[in-house]
Amino acid sequence: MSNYQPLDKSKHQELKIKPIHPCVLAKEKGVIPIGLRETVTACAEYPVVFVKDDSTGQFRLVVLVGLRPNQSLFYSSDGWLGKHIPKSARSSPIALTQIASDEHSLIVCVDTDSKMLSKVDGRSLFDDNGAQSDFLNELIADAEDLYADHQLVKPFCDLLLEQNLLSPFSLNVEAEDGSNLELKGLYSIDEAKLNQLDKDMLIKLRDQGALPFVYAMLFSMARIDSLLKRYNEQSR
Amino acid sequence: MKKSSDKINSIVIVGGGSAGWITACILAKKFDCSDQANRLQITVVESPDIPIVGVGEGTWPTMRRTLEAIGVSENDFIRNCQATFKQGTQFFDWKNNSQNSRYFNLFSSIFDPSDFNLAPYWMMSGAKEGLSYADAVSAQGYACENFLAPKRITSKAFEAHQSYAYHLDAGRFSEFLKDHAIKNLGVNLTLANVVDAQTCEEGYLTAVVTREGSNISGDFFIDCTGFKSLLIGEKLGVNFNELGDILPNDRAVTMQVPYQDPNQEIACVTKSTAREAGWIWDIGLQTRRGVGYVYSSSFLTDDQAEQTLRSYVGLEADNLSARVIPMKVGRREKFWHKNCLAIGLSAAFIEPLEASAIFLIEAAANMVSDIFPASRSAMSLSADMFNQSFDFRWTRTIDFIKMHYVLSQRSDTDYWLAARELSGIPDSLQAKLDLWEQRPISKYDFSDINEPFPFESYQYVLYGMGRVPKDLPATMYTKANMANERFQQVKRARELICDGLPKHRELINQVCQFGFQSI
Repeated sequence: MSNYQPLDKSKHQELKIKPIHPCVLAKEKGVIPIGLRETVTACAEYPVVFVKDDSTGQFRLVVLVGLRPNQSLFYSSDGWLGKHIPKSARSSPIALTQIASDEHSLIVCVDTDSKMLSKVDGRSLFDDNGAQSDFLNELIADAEDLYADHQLVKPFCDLLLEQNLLSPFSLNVEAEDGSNLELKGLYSIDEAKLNQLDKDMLIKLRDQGALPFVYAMLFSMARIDSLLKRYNEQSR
Repeated sequence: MKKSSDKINSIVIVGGGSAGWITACILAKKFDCSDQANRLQITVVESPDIPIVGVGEGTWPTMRRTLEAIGVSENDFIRNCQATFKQGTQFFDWKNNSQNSRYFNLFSSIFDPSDFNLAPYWMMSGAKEGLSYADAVSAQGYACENFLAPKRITSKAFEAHQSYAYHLDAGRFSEFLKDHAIKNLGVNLTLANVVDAQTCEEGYLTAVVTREGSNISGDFFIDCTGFKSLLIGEKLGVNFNELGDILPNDRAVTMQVPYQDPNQEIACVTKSTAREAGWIWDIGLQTRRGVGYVYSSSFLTDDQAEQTLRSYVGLEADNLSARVIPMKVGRREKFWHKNCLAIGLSAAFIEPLEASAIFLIEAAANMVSDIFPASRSAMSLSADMFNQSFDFRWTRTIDFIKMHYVLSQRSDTDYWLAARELSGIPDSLQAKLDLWEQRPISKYDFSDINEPFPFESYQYVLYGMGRVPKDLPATMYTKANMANERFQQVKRARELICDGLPKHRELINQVCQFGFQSI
């Protein structure tokens, strides 16, 4: 579990962060949320789809890293098996959180339950003078980047929904070992509807900067075969 | 006023409320009134002075299709109308004098009984071991007992794991539909008090007269003026036939009971509890329950009724006020006369047991939108057809409601004894009940497409009340193995379905905060 607390110099000055497997949190995750801009890199290696969040029903943009619920074909004890490590799979005890009373203000939080925290080993969050270390500044910059990129997903998704461009689908493939691999509740770009889109709507997608991501999602569907290949290799 | 053509170019709906706005939305959607080029004008004349009555009300699952068809979002509807989910009705104390008889009339069964009817096999096995009919064929009773919702937040709007309808605040619902009708569907609103109407020589309505002084003319008029029946009753003189000899309940005392705790569980069924001279409804909305005691004034005074209702609610009733609503039970001889159609209370009213009111409004609006005459010369054929259809629907609705009373074995008060007196039982109902003493209910008993209540509802009520045929010849029911397999599947389905369902309250909170997706 995690327990995010606002980062506070007076409470957390002695904290250090141990080096740890970068994806320890993603061990049993078959889907990993990504931000919108990340789609461009991610689509070369993973199918990029939407799934619904179990507790809110809202769409999340994710990469598929397995062909069964909770299966990861990319996690290994030696490290991540893909070239692109989804940013939200990289473990970090630092995250940004919205302040409930003001949706435009963000605070830096630290997960005080994180196994990466130590008071002895690792790199310090604050230097001897109590100032933020360069290391912490890097973590905060990563967290900011991650947060900003995830914020772009909702407007993109709303635009697709408004244009009726998303369709539900189930992934159903048969592996070499004869097992039937199924993933339900996936949503992706409906290519037929995209091709029928009228000119004005297409221009709207272009002007809003959505088109590259639409095509990135479409192209990424070819990565389902790569997942299957990986599955077959791993189960041989 | 003389018309140059007999074409129908304008519809005037007199009266807002659920009936007026549901009808306006269905017609305006059907005829694309938001399209400027379209010539059919729909105007609702709503009184600015008549207050909106907000009691909790129940619908049937047809409401999902109605809302989707008129183009409203399920999220907006739930957020604006205090709406909650309804998976059926649970009846308490109806069966006999014992204080703990209960049964469900549910909206979905795991298997379709018109495909393979499990009822006779339940009678021969499960029923003898104390398994209720509802639990034998459906997973929904279990879900209701545990305050579970009929779907998850990841389900798309209007889609159901188990079929559902809604509980809603009728006053807010009218406002919600009104807003949609005006903003999105091209319906015109005139705020005025209609006091009279004008007719031409042939007896057709030509305009309504308002207290404010203006006349609103039209080619077709829909009377949604409630019990007042201003057009079809007062103006056109179509008779109202009272039905008090069949259904004697003529009053209701109601109360709104706020939840003490914002996290209190919300019932996912309408509860109906029999009492000495009627029954109490209990409907859970988002922030309060709506409760009401429907009773017969021949057997009970208003004060007695209020006392009974207060003791039903308990301590929570202490500082709450109660309101008595008189009810005029009966129906018009005709619902469509000349160019005037009555929908809602102006057409008919029977007591709210089984939530027929809103459901029959939807049915009437759908039917008129489908058979709407293009001209006055085609009017009387459509009218005949409509009248015949709704004569049948109301007759069957009355039979179905009456059946609940006839099946009861309560004998604790004169009211319950009177409810079963032969003189008050329609022949059509008695004939069916005689038949169902001999054999299980069959889908062929309900072969008319206008049948208001489904085959399954009759099964739930009849078998829930413990009325099964006296003798079931084993030679006729030979598929016991197949039936047993299905009963096992129902049990498994119950675990499978109910495991993933959130609590009703939790789902309502999720809908209010996040909402269902449209896909």
